[in-house]
Order: sequence, then C-alpha cells, then structure tokens
Amino acid sequence: MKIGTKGRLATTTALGTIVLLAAVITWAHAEVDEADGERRRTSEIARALNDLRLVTFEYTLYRPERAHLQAREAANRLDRLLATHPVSDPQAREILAELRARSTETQRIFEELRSSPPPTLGSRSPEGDALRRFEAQLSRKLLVLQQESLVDAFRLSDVSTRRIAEAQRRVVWVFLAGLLMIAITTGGAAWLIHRSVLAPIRRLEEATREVASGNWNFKLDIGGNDEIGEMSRNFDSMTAALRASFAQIERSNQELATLNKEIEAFSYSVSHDLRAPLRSMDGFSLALLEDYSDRLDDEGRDYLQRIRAASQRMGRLIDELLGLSKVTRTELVIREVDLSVLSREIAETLEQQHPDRDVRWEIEHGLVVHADKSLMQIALQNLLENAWKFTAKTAQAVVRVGRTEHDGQAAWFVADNGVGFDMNYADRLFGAFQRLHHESEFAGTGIGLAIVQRIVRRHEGRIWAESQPSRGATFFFSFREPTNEPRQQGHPAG
Amino acid sequence: MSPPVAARAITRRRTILASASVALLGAAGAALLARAGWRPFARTEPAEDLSIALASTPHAALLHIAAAEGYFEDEGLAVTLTPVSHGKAALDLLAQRKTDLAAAAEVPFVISVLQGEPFGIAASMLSVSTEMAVVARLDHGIRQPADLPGKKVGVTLGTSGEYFLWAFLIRHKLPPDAVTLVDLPPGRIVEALAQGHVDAASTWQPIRLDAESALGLRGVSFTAPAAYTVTHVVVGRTDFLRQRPATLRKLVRALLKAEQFSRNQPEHAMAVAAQRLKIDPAALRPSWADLGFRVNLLQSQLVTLEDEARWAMARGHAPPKAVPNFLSHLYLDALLAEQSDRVTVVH
Repeated sequence: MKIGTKGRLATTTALGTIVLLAAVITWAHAEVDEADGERRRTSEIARALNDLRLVTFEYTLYRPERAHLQAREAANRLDRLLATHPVSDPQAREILAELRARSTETQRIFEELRSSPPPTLGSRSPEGDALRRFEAQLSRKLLVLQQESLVDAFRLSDVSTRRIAEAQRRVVWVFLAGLLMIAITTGGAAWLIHRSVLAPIRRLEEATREVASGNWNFKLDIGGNDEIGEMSRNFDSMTAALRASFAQIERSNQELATLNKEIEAFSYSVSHDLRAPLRSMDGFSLALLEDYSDRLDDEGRDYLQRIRAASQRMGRLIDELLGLSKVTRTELVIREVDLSVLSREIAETLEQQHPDRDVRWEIEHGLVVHADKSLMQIALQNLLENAWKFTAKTAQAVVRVGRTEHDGQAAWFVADNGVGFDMNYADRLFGAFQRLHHESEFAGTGIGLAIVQRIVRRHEGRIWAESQPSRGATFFFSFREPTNEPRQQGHPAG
Repeated sequence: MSPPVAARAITRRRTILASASVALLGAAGAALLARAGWRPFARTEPAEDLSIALASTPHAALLHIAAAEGYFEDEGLAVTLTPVSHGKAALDLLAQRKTDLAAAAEVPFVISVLQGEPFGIAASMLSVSTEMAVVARLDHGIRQPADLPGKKVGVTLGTSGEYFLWAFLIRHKLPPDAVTLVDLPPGRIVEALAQGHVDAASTWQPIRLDAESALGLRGVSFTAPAAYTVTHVVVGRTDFLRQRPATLRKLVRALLKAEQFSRNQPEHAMAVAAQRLKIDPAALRPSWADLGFRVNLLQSQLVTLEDEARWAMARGHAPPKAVPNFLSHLYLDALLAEQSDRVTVVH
C-alpha cells in the first residue's frame, strides 16, 4: 500500500470517528433535551396538583362555590396535562397511568362530596353522625389521593431527572469512548507511520552513512510496494552499480600502476644501459682525438667532435629522463617550503655559473607553500633556468617570482621578459621532448616543463602559462588548498 | 542531532506512546468493569438468620418471591418464612418474640401499637383498594349495601376485614353499629357464610373468592375502593429494628428486587406466588392485577394509621386515649439508605 493511501486511510478513519462521535453526542443531546421537556411538563403537572389540593382543602373547610369552580378548572388543566404528556420510560408510563386513575377518582369523590348535603352543626342524630363520618372519610380520601398524586408527580420528575443524568452520563461515556477510539486510531497511525516511514528512513540514513564511509556492500533491502520500498530498490541498484564501477576503477588503477612500474623500470634500465655505450662512444672519440689527431684531417676531427657532442647530448637526455622518472617515483614529504629562499639560491647559482649575464631578479618575500621541498626545488630550478635561458637575448632581462590570485585561489608564478612563445602552441609546452624553439636557438632537451608539470600534479595542483612572442612568458602554478584531512601522499598510480 | 541521539529520542517517544496507550486502555477497561459492577475482592460473609411470620395470602407475595428467586441469599440472609392464617396471627408471634419480623395489614399493627406493643414498620410492601369486599347472601335479603342494617356480618375482629366493614358502612352513609358483628377466624368465614350462620362477611382475598364460589348465584359482593386502601407492611419490634440496621437494609434490597421482578415479569411472579401459597394460578389471576406491589413508606400512611387508631379505640380494641404519634413507629432508615425516593414521610 502506498504511503499516500495509508495517509488517506488514517485521515478517513480519524474523520469517521469524529463524525460518529459528533452524531452520538447530537443524539444524546436530543435525548437530554427531550428529558428536560418532560421534566418541565412534570413541573406543570405538580403545579396543577398543588393548585387542586389548595382549593380542595378550601372547599372541604368552607364549601365556597368559588373553590369548587377553581377545583374543576385545576382538574381540567391537570387532565389536559396528563393526556398530552408524552413519555418513553416504562416507569414514567406506569406513574402517569396511576396519576390519571387517581385524578379520575379524585374528581369523582370531590363531586360526591359536593353533592352531599352539609351536616347540620350541632345535630347529633344518627343520620347526622353518619353524614359527618361520610364526609370525613371522603375528605381523608381526597387528602390521601392528592398527597399520593403529588408524590407521583415528584416521582415522574425524578424519572426525567434520572433520564437527563443518564443521557449526560452517556455523553461522557461516549466522549470517553470516542477519545479512546481517537487515541487508538492515532496510536495505530503513529505505529503505521513509524513502521512504514520512519523506520525505513532511519535505515536509509544508516545506509547513506555506511556507503559514505566506504561500505559499498551495504544493502538497504527494505521490502514493500510503497514509495520507500521503490526507493530502497533503486538505492540498492545504485550501490550495486557503483560497486561494479569502483571494482572496474580499482582494476584499472592496478593495471595502470603495474604499467607505470614497468615503464619506470624500462626507462631506468634503458637509461642506465644506454649510458655505457655512450660513455664508450664519447671516451673512444676523445681517445681518437687525443691519440690520433695527427692522422685525421679536419673533417675527421669534426666528425669525432660531432660524435662526442651527440653522445654528450644523449647523456643529458638520459639524465633528464631519469629525473622525470625520479619525480614520478619519489614519495612526497609535505611540509612548509619557502619558495622565495629556494628561488634566491637558484638565482645565485645561475649568476655564478654565468657571470656575463645581467638579469634582474624580482623575488617576493615569504612565498610559502605546503609541498615536497626536493620536488619544489626541481620544479623551480627548471622554471628559473627556462626564464634565464629565454631572456638570454633580452637586453634588460627581468625574472620575477611571486604570488597572485587566480579564480579566487592562490597561485604562484615565474615570469620573464624573454622571447616568449605563441599561445597557439601552448598545449605542447608540457609534453616531454616538446620544444617551441629550435635547439640551435636555445639549447635544451624539452623535458624540463614536463618534469615541472608532473611535480605540480603530484601536489594535486595545476600549471599553466601565458605568453606573447617577444614579450616574455609567465608560468603559473597552484596547489590544492591545504585541509585538515591528511593528504594522500602515495604514488599517484598506487 | 546525532544518529544515536535521534534513535534514543525515537525509542523514548515509542515507549511513551506505548505506555500512554496501555494506561488509556487499562483505565477504560477498569472503568467498564467498575461500571459493570465487578468487584475483584468481594468479601463473602456468613448468611444472617432472619425469621418472618406471614399470612398465607397474596399480600405477602413479595416475601415469597424474594425467597423463591434467591434474593435473600444474594443479600446474605438465611430467611425462614413462617406461614400463619392472617396478619394478626403473625403479629401475635412477633409479640411473643417467636419471630424476628411479621408481615401484616396496617389495622392489626395499629391495634398492637395501641395495646402497647413496641412495634415499628420497616417497609410497606403492597397496597390494594379493590380486593376487600362484603360478600352477602341474596337469599338473606341483601341486594344492596342499604340492606345490611340489622344483619349479622361475619368478620375477623381486629383485622383489616373489620376496618373495611366500618369504612364500607360509612361510605354508604350507614351507622357503623347498624350491623351485628360475628367474630370468625379467617378459616371459618366461608363455612359460616355458606351455612347461613351469618348474612354477610367482610373479608379479603383469597377467602373472598372462596366465599363467592361457595355462594354462587346466592351471593353478592360489595366493594368500596374509595373507602379503604389496605396496606401490608413488614413489622418488627422496635429494639430489633434499631439493633439490626444492616439486616433490614439487606431485607429492603431483596424486597426491591422482588418488586422489580414482579413488575418486569408479572406472569412469572404470579406463578411463583401461586406455587408458594399453594393456590391455583387461575384463581389468583383475577385479583393479581389489582395488587400494587411497591416497597415504600408514604406520608399518607400516617393519615390512615391515625384514622385506624381512632377507629380501633372507638371499637374498643384499645382503651381510649390520645392518638399516638405513628411517626416514631416508622423505621425509615433502611429504605432511606437504599432508595430514598421511596420514602415520602416528612421527617
């Protein structure tokens, strides 16, 4: 059953209970109203009886005709009230029947008394005594009948009062029963909501926590045909798909790591293995030049010089390749690194190596980053050597090292006012052995920027360049903002 | 809110909800049981012995019904009913302390009080105004009440039969001494009338019915509903009534149940009474409907008791004196405690 259907069912039940309660209360109120009407009519009967009793008493004492007329009027009123008094209670019906019978008898006796000649005062004849006794008997009977009728009127009133009280009690009980029903309905709805909504949501919350912590094997597994059951199945499908994707990525990573290792091993062994023949070529070429120079003509010596230069260049290429490989393999040790200090040291070295150059260094103070110091040394070395190299033909060479903001993030830069390059070829800048200038123009292997890019990437950063031909070039790099979480310092492929 | 705290809050809410539901259901159940009169720790006490002398007439039917239907036992009373010929005989047993209570009409009770017996009325059980009659012999020249003067009328002196005859004569404007009273015990009235030893007899049911049957077409019955309403009461000695209030409340409760039974199931009640009184139900049926079974103590009874007292003294059943205050001879407490609306005596 859908959650919406359950909600509608609970609402309908609650509304039904309230409507039922309202109906029963209305019915009970009507009963109270009816009983109250009965009680008011009973009061009128009691009033009529009292009036009748009053004038009967007057008549038995003084025999005035006025009392007789009033008695008749009161009796008629009483008869009308008794005739039109509707009652539903069996006991009330019984009392009413007694009242009617007694009223008839009362009137009959009253008329009998009225028709009897009043006894002569002071007469002691047997007839007079009999008449006096007769009248006394009738008077007593009237007194008793009217007393009993009044008592019955009060009984009738008591029945109505009791009926009102019962109806009111019934209202209370119905109200309590209704409250109980509402409580049970609410409890049932709460239980239903808990069972079919809250508990699954709690389990879903647990599942998201588990998945977030890396437990991809957690299964939500909530049954049911409602929306949450559907969501549970979708969630389990999603985690299954993610599990498969991650397994695939894991396998790819492992394959990549293996491949990288193989490449590194290959590069390393190739580099080392190539050094021996190169050294032989260079050594034997030098031996030829030193020991057999006199037997060679100029062309032969030139060839030998070229062989030596080529073998030495190849040696440098191998060194660069080893450097690149080392950058990839080295384990990062992250700490505070002052780029300003490193830059000045490199600048001093370059000036010492080439005292003929006049380059102005503009290095900002306090360029501190969190990085691996040895790798940052290599990166800066490459960037500053490039700047040094490409300003060789600039009259007033300036090399700047500093910090700036890029897209709201800190970035560091090395800028020069050298030859620059065409930005159309910028995508080739960081490729190994890629060169934008001919070697004859600016010496180099084309490995340096590839090494720099790899170092920056090892630090989860990015590197880019901006340049215009003859206007110099600026190389920017940025690192991921340091966080409290420990940075993954392993090998990128591992 | 962290997950464990949220879980604890949910568990606490569930516990509160469950506890509230259980408490609500428990309270409702207890209320329903209490409403149904269930008493988990009701005490069982030994039954109290109580002896009641009563006439073998339908007037004491409520006592017979209460005994037959087990209402006395329900109230913890072990009642012994002692049948006698008429109410006056029952009061005699009470005067001799041979019974705890007696059932009788008001007239013998009034005479006993006037004679100094310390009697009190615990409750009235029945009132009836049509059952008493003067049964007369047509062949003795009695065709209407006015023919009675000078005739011999059989009656049990000191009983409601004699008082009815007196009231009957007054009702017909006849002098009370216009007839000659012949004292007869209830068991001999029918025979005396049938054999012509008396011209008429004033008596109650079922003797009246026997007399009418015995005379057949030779007889005529005169009633006087407006003259006298006979009331039958449960009478006890004043000291007993004062000392056993709890017993009297149990008795009153049993009588109220019997009254309810006779109202709800009149045919069944009549059958029970007929069986206990060893009367043919068919013979009882004509007069049964006129019997007004109602347990009460009415103010109007005082008027009747005083009138009967004046009559009794006038008839010589007691020495002349001031009419006693019968209010002190009405024991109201039991009925007031059980059903106060049944007591209309101003007190």
